Amino acid sequence: MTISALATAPALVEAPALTDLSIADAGRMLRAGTLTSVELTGAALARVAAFDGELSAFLEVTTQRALADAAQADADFAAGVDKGPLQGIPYALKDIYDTAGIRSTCHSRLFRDRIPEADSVAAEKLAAGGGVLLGKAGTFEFAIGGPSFDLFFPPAKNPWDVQRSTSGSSSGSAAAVASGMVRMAMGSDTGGSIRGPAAHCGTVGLKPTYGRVSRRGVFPLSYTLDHCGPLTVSVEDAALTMQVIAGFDPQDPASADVGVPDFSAGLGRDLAGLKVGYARAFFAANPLTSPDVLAGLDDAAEAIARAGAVVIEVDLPAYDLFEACGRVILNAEAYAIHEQDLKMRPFAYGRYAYQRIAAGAVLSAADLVQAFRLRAELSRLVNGKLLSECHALITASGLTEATPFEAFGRDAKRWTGMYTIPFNVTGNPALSVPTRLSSNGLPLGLQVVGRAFDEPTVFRIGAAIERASGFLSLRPPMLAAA
Amino acid sequence: MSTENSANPYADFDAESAALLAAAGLQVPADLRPGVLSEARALRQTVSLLRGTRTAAAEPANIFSLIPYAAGAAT
Repeated sequence: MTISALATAPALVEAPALTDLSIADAGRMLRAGTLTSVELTGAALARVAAFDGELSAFLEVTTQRALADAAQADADFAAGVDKGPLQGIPYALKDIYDTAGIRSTCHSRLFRDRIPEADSVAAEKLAAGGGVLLGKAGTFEFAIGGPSFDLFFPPAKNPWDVQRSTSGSSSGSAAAVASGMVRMAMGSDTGGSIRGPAAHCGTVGLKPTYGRVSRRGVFPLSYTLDHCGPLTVSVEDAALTMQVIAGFDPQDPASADVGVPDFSAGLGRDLAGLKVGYARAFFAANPLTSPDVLAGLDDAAEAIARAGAVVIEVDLPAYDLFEACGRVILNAEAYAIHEQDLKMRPFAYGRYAYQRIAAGAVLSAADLVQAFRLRAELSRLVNGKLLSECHALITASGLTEATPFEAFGRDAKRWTGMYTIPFNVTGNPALSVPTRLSSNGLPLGLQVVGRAFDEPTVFRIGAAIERASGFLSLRPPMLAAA
Repeated sequence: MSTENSANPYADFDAESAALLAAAGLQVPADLRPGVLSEARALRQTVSLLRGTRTAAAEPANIFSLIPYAAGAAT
């Protein structure tokens, strides 16, 4: 963490009330003149100073940039300039997002001193929207190699238990949001790296529809599986963030030229008129599934029904099919991206990143073509059948609670227990929402999966689950202890 | 079967993976080899699931588009 400039930051006294403000509430106060962005940013920096030594959420805290952004936001408010819902709101970017003039390392020695000349599109949109960039969040190396202790900076810790992983590569983003340093941090999701950390750190995390948010300027892991999206404290925070970052980008080959809806339109509404498919057997049949995860899903299904939706049990194709398809595509594409560096600079990688990516070399061309064929069939089954009958599906984000660091060995091995990759394969929007704490006091989550480009319905259902669970009032014990 | 094969039930499988890695031009450092082979094993064990009867609708035939270059299309 680089906090050399913290001494110059104003209002560094910890102010929990400010760091607990939702994006909408903070926005109302900023617009009413009862709060300044400089005050809000000062509280966020104080939270970072208090907890990041233990959590390692940030690779770099951009204090001077944050204070400058905050001052600009305040000046704009004073001048009657309103750039949107994130104006004056502190946020973080996973360090695979390029930021002009600010190191963007992918948490890798290969890029340790890399300073891009241009912003990623998401960073550009957040800046244009008046957001306050607090810093660059840690990640698994190249969004795949982690949690690793052999890199130049340690892995982010889970704020609910610092002996445990955040579960997935948007690790610093999840730790920063869960510990109240920021209300929103951008992540990326290739096999579940937004939804996994969200579920296991007790935050909300959205993998938008493939093509909804530009990936330009975000270092790729897998061209056809990568998605950019936010991790936030609440569903409403996520919807407001999407209003800023969504949109067609003709320079991103994956970008979709579709309209941008009002993502918050359904928040607060009941679920009357919706049919929700509960893919229970999909995960419940797996012996790894914890009773707590199952109970959280069952409770959520009942809550959705009480909110007015028709809930029916549905069957998805076997998870192993999705995983085989997704893993082959991911590993083949990642290997293609890293091929030269794996050959020329193998020791510049951490162990996990090298081992996971290099393994892609054993796949054949036929394997990849067959994976693409299966992908088309799986997409047709999910979109053409299940999601033509239902407005959305719910299923588990993961089967267990977060994994202790000590369970990760010296060498990479197959990661089990997450159920997120199916919707990278199909490209559907998928929102992870907290359900409850496990019997060990650790967060668990589910995912709401929607029709393509129908994030508003996903948010509407997610908000209903959030209201019913009461999880929004919970905070990691380390915050209460402080 | 060699002693090594008896100790590692995946020895033959791993030897194939090592040959594939070498054929790809990767000189895997010895210290990193166990993890690479473990990952390769997990991957190669899943690929049989990819094979199946598919219809023409599953052809991966849409990975590029000529529409932007069609005669008369705006440039």
